[in-house]
Amino acid sequence: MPVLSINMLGRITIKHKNESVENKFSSKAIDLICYLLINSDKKISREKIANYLWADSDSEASRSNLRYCLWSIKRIILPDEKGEEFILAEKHLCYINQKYDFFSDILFLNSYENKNDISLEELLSIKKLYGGDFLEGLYINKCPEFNDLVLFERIIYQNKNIELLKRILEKYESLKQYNNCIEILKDILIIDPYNEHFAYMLMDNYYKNGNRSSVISFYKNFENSQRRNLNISPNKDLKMLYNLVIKDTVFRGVDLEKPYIQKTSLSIDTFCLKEIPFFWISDVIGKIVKAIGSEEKLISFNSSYISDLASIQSKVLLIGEKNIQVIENVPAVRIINAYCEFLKCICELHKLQIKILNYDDMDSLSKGAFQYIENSRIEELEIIKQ
Amino acid sequence: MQVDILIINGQCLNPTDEKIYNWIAIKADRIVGIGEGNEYLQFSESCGEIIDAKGSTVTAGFYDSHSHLIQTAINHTSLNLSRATSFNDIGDLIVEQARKNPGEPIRGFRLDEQNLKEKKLPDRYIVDKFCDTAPVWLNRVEYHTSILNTYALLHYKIPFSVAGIELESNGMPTGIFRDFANALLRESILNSMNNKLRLKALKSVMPYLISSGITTTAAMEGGFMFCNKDAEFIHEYKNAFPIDVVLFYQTTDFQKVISMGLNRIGGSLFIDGSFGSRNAALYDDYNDAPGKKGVLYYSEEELNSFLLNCYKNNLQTAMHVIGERAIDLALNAHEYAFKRTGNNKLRHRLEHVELPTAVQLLRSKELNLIYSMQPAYEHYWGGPNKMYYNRIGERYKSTNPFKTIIENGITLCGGSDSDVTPANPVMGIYSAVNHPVEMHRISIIDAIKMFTINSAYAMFEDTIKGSIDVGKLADIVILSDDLFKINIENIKDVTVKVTIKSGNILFNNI
Repeated sequence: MPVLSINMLGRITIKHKNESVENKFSSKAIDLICYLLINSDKKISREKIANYLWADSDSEASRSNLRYCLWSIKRIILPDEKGEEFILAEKHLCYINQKYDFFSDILFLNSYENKNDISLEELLSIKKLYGGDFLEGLYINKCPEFNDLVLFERIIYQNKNIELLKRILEKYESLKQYNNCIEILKDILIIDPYNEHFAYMLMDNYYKNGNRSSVISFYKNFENSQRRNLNISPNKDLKMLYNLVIKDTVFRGVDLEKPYIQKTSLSIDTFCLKEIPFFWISDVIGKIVKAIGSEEKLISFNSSYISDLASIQSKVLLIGEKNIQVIENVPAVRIINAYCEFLKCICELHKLQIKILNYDDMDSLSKGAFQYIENSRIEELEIIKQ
Repeated sequence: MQVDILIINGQCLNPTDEKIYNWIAIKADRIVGIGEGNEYLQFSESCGEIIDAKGSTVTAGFYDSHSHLIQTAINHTSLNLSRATSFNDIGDLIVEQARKNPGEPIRGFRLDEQNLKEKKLPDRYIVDKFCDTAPVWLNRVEYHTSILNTYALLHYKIPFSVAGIELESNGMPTGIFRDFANALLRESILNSMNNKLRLKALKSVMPYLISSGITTTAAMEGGFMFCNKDAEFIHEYKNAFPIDVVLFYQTTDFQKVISMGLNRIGGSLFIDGSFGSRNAALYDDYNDAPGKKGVLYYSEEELNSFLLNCYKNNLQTAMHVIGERAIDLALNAHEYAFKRTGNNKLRHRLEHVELPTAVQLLRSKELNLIYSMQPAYEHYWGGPNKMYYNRIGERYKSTNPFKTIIENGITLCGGSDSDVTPANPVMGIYSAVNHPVEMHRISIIDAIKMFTINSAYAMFEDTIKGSIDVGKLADIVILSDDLFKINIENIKDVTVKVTIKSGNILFNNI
């Protein structure tokens, strides 16, 4: 880790030997560091800096202020292990010492500027640097040129941010990673909220990702926001896409009336014991309940099924309503039927993968149930025999 | 009976029966008696306060049927730039404000470059010369353009990639924001204002409203060019004001309005623009902009669907329509929704309706629509060589035809559109009675009804307010003169002497 780290995207932070030191500097000292970093490829005359940062002082006073400021910085940012100073102050010139062991977000970002073949990982690490606008909250009284410089850089880094997000988007698109595309498009729309091109892309990605309800809710919010702020309605393309989705009632098997649920993956390893009736079924139920947790109530699951299954695995009671009566000696056919319904119910919410670690040792009742379930072809259920 | 307040020697006009009475008795928050002659003597001995109206007009407390209350309040504490004739004039106001409240954000409004000798908007460098130690935000007269100084450019979070930010040749912003950029900027700044500031601003403007005789005001808040937070603020604080404030939420999100428990939606829901900005939707070209006919902001399909939802959900609607084309669009949508629901009990309102045709008046009557209009527009913009004339030529003779509207049986209520014109019902009454086109002038009684009983009807409050009938809330104004005895040209000089709201004397200048 470098000795010194300076982040200028967002509110300025300066860490020296991992300790935040920005509060130890006067505002002018921070301005000076920022100015030198923005111009880190140049050696700048003391006179120019003094005129820049102390525009309302006479030349002698401003040069003296600069000297004091350089001294105060030197006092806090000590030489690195190789003895290099952070700022080199010569008789007439000042500049950042590139040999000093330091990190700056904007310099890091700029170093990627002319590279054509940047990997997705690199782009994502650059994205993380954006903690906000360039030098957010910084304004110096009576320094119009410096303030203009900050404004100029702010515009540049905002544009770079958009370009960066577009490049990441392209990468995700080529990988068909719709969820990631969606996240990037949301970021772009925070910066440019009325951009109908990106709004369309976001809806399209939701659609491709099977998230119909998000297409509808995004469109409605976008429509409201356009009406509220611009008194216009979405363009023809957006309306067409919205209408297409609205009319698509059999969209990916999802009922129009039901909200689309983004399914999460659930994978369990199960065990068999030949001698104990229903052991594998009981093991599956117990491990599913453990995996989903007792907070997830299966509202649509009939309580009589829970009652039947509770006769072989009491943990199932955790996901049902309170006061379900447990019945002894439930006929096998009811247990197998309830088990099948249980798996269907779970698979409405999850992509379920059941690994059977020792299939050959499965008890006969569970084996019958296993075959029955395989023939039922429950969607989103995968059973792997090992 | 013991009464609290007795108003005597008044020319007490009751807007419902249009009769003149001499006295009014008030107990607690209600009117308990009105009459002629000396009948009031039965109350006088045990009365708490007797107010001698000295022969002046007394009537129901005034309504302002269309006002943008929060904007009025915030502008009340901001710089009014309407009289600035140069950059230096603007600068003087800014410097003075910065001196009074160092470091505090400065807002200016009603800036019109046509009034400036420079004939252009100032850029940030100009504004910086007058203030570079606090954010300065100046609004052009129609709020579609903003100017920021450099401090504000760095202070507010601004996405510079959005269309509408004016740039110099070197790519640096001039500080002038239009279109999308201006909308985003307004939203960002208005949202950043906290309710404390809104409350403070409202408190500062309330005495003015009360001294103008207003006891109930419609607050058209939220939506395009305004801020939803304003609407939510009014909703939350509606009982915290000395006068009644009735929220009109300017949104098309009917589900939101229903979830807030409101039974009305809209206000300045802009179906078209304005004459001033040449975007009121006309059938014929603007006189001073050949080829231009204004803009409709909704398609027929959108407006039909919106109104149908409102009719189905029993929501009263209020829509801003100015040009004939916009009025027709609104009427078509009302007919569409009415045919499908048969619901005509909602007292739907059309706001402004500045240029209706004879056929549109018939259709409006058929649909039971209320016209909510601003007579003071005629005072400021009507007649030869004023704004209406400049924009639409001879058609200025057809604007705001109050008399014909009333003759067609349409309920006509009055408002100020504050702060487009001052929140001052007496000015509204004067303007309606003195319409620059004589054939559109209405009687004093009809003008008073616009700002009392008709407005109450337009807000579903006519059974409790809007007149001086016994049993109604004691919302009463006493004017400085008898309106029926002075020249109608002098009505504009009439002032409010006393304002009583629900039996409380809020203003007394006798």
